[in-house]
Amino acid sequence: MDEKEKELIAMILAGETEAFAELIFPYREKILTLAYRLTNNEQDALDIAQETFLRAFRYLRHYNFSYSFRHWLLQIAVNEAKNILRRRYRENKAKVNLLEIMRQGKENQPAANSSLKSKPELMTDLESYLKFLTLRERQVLVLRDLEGLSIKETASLLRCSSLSVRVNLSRARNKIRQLMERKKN
Amino acid sequence: MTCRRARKLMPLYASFDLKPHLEKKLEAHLATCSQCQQELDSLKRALASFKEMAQQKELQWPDLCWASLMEQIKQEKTKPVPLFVRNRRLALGFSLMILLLGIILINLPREKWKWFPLSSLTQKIKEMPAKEISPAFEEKATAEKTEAPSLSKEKSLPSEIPAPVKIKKKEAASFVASLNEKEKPLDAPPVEAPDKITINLFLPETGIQVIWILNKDFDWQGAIK
Repeated sequence: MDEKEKELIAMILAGETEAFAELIFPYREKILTLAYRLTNNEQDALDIAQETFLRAFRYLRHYNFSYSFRHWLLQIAVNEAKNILRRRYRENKAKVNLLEIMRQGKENQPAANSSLKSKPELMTDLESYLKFLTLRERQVLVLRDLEGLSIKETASLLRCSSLSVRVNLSRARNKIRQLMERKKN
Repeated sequence: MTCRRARKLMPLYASFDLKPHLEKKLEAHLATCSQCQQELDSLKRALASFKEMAQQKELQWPDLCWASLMEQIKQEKTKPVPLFVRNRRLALGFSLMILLLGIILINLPREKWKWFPLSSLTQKIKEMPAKEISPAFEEKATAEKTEAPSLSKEKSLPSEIPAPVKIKKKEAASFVASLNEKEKPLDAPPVEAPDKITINLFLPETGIQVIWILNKDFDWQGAIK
């Protein structure tokens, strides 16, 4: 671990909260981008990044110095992304149920239903590819290929086996290749 | 290795995530199979372009969001963390030391506890009742003593049974010594006979008093009526 980071953490723990901005500055774009890649939504990514830094500040006293600070931040961000996606899934499910109820009750008012539908967002290629992956495949691909973690690090961060990481990584890469070829054709 | 197996291993081989023995087998297959080699090239190209895409798109923090986050962090109440919480090894070592000290103290003999502040306290507690009760007992004893002669004059039965006589350590030791003397060998010089033993019988109803006199061998010596 970087000596400067250690000093900054010691300062924050001693009560100098201003040092936290300096500590997280090198990671602020990385965490935001990671959150965006995991969720494919800018607002969610901002929420995740904010919550990640807040949690890091709150639980800094429990930080284990034997791990790298980046690894710790990535772990918090991944967990937070998982929570947000779970919440979104529940909300969408509830929205669909509400929509069905409204359709049944107000069959003569189709205009009202159309207002509930979310507008299709303009997606870049990357987002459109990531959209076709499952959550685990996306997590593994983003952490291994885009964040550059090793298989072991990815496994420990996602709390799964190395074998599971390998299998999901293989699937995700195959899917990406197929999607790219399809797009070319 | 078959082409099907090679295709399965390719995604991991593309970024050197394959185990060495499988890597060698796949390389041997790729050297002979041009179709698989082409597939591997296309996979590598796809992954490279994917990574490029990822590098192009980097989100930037809106200034307002970052400022609000910093404001939130400032508002978070933080207390300075104690040294033991920061340094877990130190905390563990300290607790182990206390545990060891406790075990040693418990196993020490009682006599060596005198220096301990609590030992003097427990000693005081032990002594307290004796000091407090003894004067009351003394008063009772004096009252009984004063009453006792009057009872004897009236020739009535004593109301209370006298307390058993406590044998002191010294007396016990002398008694044991006397017993040992009795068990001396026959060659030892004869011991002088002790005083006579008297058994006093007093009947309060009739007022008759009889005293039997016996010697040390319980031989009858006479009686006084």
